[in-house]
Amino acid sequence: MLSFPKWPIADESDLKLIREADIRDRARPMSKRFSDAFRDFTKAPYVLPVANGTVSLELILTALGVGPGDEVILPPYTFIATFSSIIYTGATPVFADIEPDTYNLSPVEAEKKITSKTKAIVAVAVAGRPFDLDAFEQLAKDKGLYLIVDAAQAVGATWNGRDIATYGTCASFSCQNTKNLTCGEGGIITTSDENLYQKLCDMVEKKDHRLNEISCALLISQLSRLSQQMKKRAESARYLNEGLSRGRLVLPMKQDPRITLDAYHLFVLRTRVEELAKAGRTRKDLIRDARELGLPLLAGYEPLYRLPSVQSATTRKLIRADMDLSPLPVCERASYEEGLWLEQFTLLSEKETLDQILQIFETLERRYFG
Amino acid sequence: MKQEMLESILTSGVWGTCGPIEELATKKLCEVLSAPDRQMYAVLTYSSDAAKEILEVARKMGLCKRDDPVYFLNLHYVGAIITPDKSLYEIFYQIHHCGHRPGIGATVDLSEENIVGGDMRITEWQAAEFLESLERL
Repeated sequence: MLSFPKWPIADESDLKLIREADIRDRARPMSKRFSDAFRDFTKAPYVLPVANGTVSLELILTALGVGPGDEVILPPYTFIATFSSIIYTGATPVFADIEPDTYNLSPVEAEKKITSKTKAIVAVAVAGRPFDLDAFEQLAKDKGLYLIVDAAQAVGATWNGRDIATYGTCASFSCQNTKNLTCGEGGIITTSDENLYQKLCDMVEKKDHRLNEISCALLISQLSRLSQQMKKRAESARYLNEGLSRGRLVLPMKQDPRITLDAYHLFVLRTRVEELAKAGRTRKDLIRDARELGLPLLAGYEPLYRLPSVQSATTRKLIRADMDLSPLPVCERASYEEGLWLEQFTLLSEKETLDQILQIFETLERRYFG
Repeated sequence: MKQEMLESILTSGVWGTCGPIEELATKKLCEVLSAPDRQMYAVLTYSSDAAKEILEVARKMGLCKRDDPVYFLNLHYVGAIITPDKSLYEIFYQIHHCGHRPGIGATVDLSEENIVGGDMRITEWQAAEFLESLERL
């Protein structure tokens, strides 16, 4: 039986801090302390804790003046929050395909979708892996667009040695219960634009999107152990990738040297679809058989454009415009044939568990190929 | 907030995203607000403004009329949207929980949901504080 660590992790240091916090305190000392700590950690000039990572995206878009009639480019391989934050402003989401070896938004495909109505690109660091920040920053600069870094899953990730929080017009983080830095529900906005930060602060105060004091206290203590956990996740991912690369069932994601720290909110693998087909198997078989052996493999996201809620009349009423919901080939393959996920706590497991995971893949390979 | 409550949430591993304390607090609030002939339904939100945003979104989506019976609760650290209409409650719940219907956990699977929801959820800390207030009441 595989043994995974419980998540979230907490101890006396968390309890001590939340005992000091008063949820009714209007001066919000814990919010200030956490903002300072996160600024030190990321080197982002301005930090604003907010109620959650969905609201943070919505606030950013609204503060940038995105609204009805504007188009915002996003990937279809992401959580619904990326989409909902756009339609809640009244803007029209425009899907662009992802890269086959990272599952992140493709800068080439995003550029193809730019029109005179495009105001912003929301690019997502899927699974905690930074997307091509150089390419997107250049694209945004060349086309005069806002770049919003949806780093909901990527707290602590770095690109060329710089924290992801320092890229784009703004970056947005989620501290929901499963995230690598969590307080149950929470969000963080970072930016280097002082005026935008002031505008966001005013919006958060006016509409009460603040993060409560107990959650801020918890984030302070959780942040203090993040680096150590990130190191452990990266070591485990390297170990699993090495072991799994030798087999015939899965491929690791592309290793990009510009990703100096991958947050590994999820450990993502690619099914070797054509190889498995030789044994008459598919990803569905692999997930089912791995789960029977105790490994909780997941299939991951469905493309957003296929969700009934995205296609619904209620969504069209919000944006009052037509959306292009045509299937995008790379996303289709990632969603329905190839993508495999393990959740982040898997990577915090002891080496014995990691070896058991490798053994499960070896067992299945023997079963499939003899 | 009571020490035992803080510790129990911290060790439970569920600090937010529609956890058991929120469920309990919601149930208690509905008990307080309901009359024998009028059952009330409530969705707790991280602020009263967030509760109002649920109504605004529902109206823009054409799911709620101007004269539908909807009430709000406003505390400093938690809000709520309240209605005697069960079908409206389900719409409000979906809007507050990323599209998930009541009883559905916080999964990435939204393949059967019909409304794009936002996130107006509360943490278990807010729920616990609110529950204590209700119990004092």
